[in-house]
Amino acid sequence: MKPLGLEGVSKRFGSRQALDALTFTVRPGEIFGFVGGNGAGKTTAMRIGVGVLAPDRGHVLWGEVPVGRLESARFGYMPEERGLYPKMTVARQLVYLGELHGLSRADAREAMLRWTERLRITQHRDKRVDTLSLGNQQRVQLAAALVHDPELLILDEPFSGLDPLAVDDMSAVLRDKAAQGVPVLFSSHQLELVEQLCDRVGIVRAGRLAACGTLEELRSADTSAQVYVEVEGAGEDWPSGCAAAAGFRTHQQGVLVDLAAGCTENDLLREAVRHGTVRQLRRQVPTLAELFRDLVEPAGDPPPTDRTGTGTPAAGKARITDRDEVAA
Amino acid sequence: MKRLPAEQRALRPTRVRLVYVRELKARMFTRGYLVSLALLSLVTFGLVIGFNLIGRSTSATVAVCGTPAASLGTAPPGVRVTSCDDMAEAQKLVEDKDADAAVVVAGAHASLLVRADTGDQARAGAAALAETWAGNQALLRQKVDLGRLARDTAAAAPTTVTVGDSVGTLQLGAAASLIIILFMQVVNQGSVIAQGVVEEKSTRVVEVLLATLTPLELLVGKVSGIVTAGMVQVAAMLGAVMGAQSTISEQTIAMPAPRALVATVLWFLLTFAMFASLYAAAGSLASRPEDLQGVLTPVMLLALAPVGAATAAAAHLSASWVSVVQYIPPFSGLLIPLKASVGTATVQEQLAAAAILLVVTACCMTLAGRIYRNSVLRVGAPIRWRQALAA
Repeated sequence: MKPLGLEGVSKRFGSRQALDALTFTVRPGEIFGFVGGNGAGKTTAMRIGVGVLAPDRGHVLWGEVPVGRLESARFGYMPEERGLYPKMTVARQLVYLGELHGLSRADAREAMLRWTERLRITQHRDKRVDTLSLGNQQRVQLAAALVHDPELLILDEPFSGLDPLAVDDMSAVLRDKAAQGVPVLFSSHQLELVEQLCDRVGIVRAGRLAACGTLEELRSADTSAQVYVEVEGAGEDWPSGCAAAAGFRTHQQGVLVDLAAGCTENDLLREAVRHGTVRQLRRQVPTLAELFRDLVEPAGDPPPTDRTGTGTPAAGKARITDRDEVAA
Repeated sequence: MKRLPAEQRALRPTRVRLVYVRELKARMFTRGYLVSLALLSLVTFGLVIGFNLIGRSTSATVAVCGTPAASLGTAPPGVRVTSCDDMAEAQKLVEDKDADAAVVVAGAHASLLVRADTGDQARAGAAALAETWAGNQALLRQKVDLGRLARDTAAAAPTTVTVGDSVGTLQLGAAASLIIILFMQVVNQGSVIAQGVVEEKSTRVVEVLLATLTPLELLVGKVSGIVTAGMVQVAAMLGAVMGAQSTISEQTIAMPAPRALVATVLWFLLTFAMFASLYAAAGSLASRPEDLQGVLTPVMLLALAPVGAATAAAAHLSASWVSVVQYIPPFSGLLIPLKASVGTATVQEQLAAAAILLVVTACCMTLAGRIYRNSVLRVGAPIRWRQALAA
């Protein structure tokens, strides 16, 4: 199996720059989660990756070779907007798509049987797609992406609209595929799922990669990481006089403190003990959702330069959020 | 604009075939299509036979007895002459409405048998036959050799000379209606093509397809599938007409000569290819079926213009404007086969017009491929032609 790489991919639609020199790699056997706000460019990037759209600049490489029709026929693709022929039966549809991907009729048929079984839609094989429930249509759509045994999976929002059982099925299939060495790229707004499923995560903002790496890497790169402190006997605004605190807000029973530049937890602790008994002090480990919010907020706003002015719910002190350099 | 990699423009026959076969099956193996095909053939068959019967019943039948029918010369127009044995049979024929009137010759006297409801045509026909008989009798009494009289009259008959290069409307009739029917088919099938494209776009299946197919492969496979389904319909209709004709088969109608027919079909296919690509491009501009009408109007007008021009030209095929317009696509697709079917288009004219049409068709297909590629993935409000071309 070969990795998929996007290198400096740019795409412009009219006056809107959808992608701006986007670069990242999905390695063999890896599940890569693609997150970003609406209109950040995820779908465009995936469409370019699978060859449905052509980039204005940059390349898509599969291993060493640029992706062309020959290569992308080996990819499995699930578009964000689900699309199947409504009046065709599930079986015919899957066989047709298998054949389009270069399978012989017999192989396509065999694969159709295998995948409808695996995705638990055997009883719907001879039904027309428009008679199925949305969730089952989604399963058919996944089968359509898998029927030709692809060597790379690109799935745009595969989990949207799925019930918990279907989410489990879908996750299991993605894990299986990755275990076979297939690079899996998928986008999702369900960040908990991305957190559970992905080996690496790429966060896109305004057509650029705002961050990329394993969850651990993203967390350690989060320089604004806050410290949660519970001080018994202190007033709510005790950090306001601390030199080590650049900003703070109340959180649960204590406060979340942004450390000032150059200060560590020790500096904060030294000041905290003066206000009362320190019951707890721990570094706040951000969830992906929090990382995402930090990176993407203010969502959909104009370029990085004017972001300092837009306040966050935290303290009056400006937060350090310009973290584009973190990008891999 | 950036040039696409060569493979984006390539057509792989196996993929095109798959798309084509799917499209054909999706169109033809539906109950609606098969039922309409059967109905269309039956109705056409019935109409041709029906019109023929109606046409036949308007000719009057006059029975003649007591003298050979042939001796009365050619039958008056609209009158069929049969013979009978005697007065009694003639009376029975007329009473039973097997004949509208009868001329009965007994000795030196002729009588006319009519019913009260016998039409004027039959009465006039029978009277004319009786008069011819009476005239012949008078000539015989004056010792005139009737055979020689007929020969001498024939020898002195005038000959007809056609002057000028105008074309008779009767001669044009069959060819013109065939060609116009074929072109109405362009408009019909064109809308079907546009609808098919919008359907793929609105169900979003196009994105799945474009992950393995180039837009051109999809376009070509789809359009040829729909065109084939449409042509089967036309062929069934023509078959029904010919079948009906052969069952009646007393006289064949003036069908164009086979060579003209082949030329017409070739011209039609070439023009159809041009319009099919334009219709597909138009279809790709809309995202929802209800937006279709707006984007189709310009193409529809372009497709109907030649039909209008041909109707106007049919009466004056030799008019000077026709000799110019006949080279301009899409008018050439209709005017040239029309002229060819009556033999007034020279080979040079045909070749020149074909070359121009071929070039224009190629341009249209390239342009349509580009519009289709640029707009087939865009959803939302209908895209303007200019935007689609520029993107």
